[in-house]
Amino acid sequence: MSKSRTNDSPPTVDMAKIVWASARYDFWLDLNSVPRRQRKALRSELRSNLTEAATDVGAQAALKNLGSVRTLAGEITRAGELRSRWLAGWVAAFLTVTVLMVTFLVLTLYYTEGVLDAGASEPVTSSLFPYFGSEVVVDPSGGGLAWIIGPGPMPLLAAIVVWLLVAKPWRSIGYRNFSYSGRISPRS
Amino acid sequence: MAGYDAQVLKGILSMLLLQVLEKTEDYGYSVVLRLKELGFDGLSEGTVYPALTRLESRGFLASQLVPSDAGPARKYYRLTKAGTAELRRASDAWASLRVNIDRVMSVASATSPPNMNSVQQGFGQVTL
Repeated sequence: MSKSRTNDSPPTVDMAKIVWASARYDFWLDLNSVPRRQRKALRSELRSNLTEAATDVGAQAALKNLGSVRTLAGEITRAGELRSRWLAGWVAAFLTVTVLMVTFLVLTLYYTEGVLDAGASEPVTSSLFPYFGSEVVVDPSGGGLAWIIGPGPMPLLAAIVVWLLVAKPWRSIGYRNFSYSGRISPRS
Repeated sequence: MAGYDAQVLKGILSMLLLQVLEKTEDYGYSVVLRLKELGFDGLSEGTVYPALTRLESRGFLASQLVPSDAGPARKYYRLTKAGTAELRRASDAWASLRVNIDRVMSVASATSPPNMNSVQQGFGQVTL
């Protein structure tokens, strides 16, 4: 491990500039969908490096050498392979569908109980909130009880939205690998 | 160091970082300073930090946080086994490239410059 170059802290004004730059860096990382834990680690690393650089050359020069924090956040996001989380996306989507379907069934039972309590003798059709497009037909006629239920597209649409939010597939689409990869075949 | 092409530097930066970190683990700003001291004085932190992150995410570098008296904990990078192998591969590729470049340069410098009189005599008579 190399020795640190200095243990002095930069002046308060410089520290304020560093904190402000770190905050902006965090903002751009957040906009790039970097998870909070990784953002915190990246922000801390940048702050550490900037603090040391500011001690050496002053905060203004340190920030100038760093360049745009927005650009840095973009580069770091791509470089860190903060890519799509496919498995997490599928699990979250499955859980969403499961919870919504169970909830729909429970709501259907309550609704049926309400229909029976009201003494209905003909088939009753309704749509349950917030399951738009759903259909519940309760048919208490003939001494028995028959259901026709359809949850509508809401559980599926919710699962798709959750999958998109968790898996973040656009990360894979936008990922660019620009690292050194210049394998050169030696000429015999 | 004489001026260097930014694109060329971008292509070999990973190799340089692996080389710098081969013997000694170090943190971002210190790595930048060491490269500057070695002649890459135009190198910016904004170029090096993403490159370090990229190498870490590809498993070529590992890191650990070490408390610092001056401020937040420093993140020290060190080479992994995969990083050592990658450094060897990149070094071989670079050596091969250098041999080829030297070969081309030596051939080019051994020949005489174009004779403008020959050029003016007509198409197809350019002397190299």
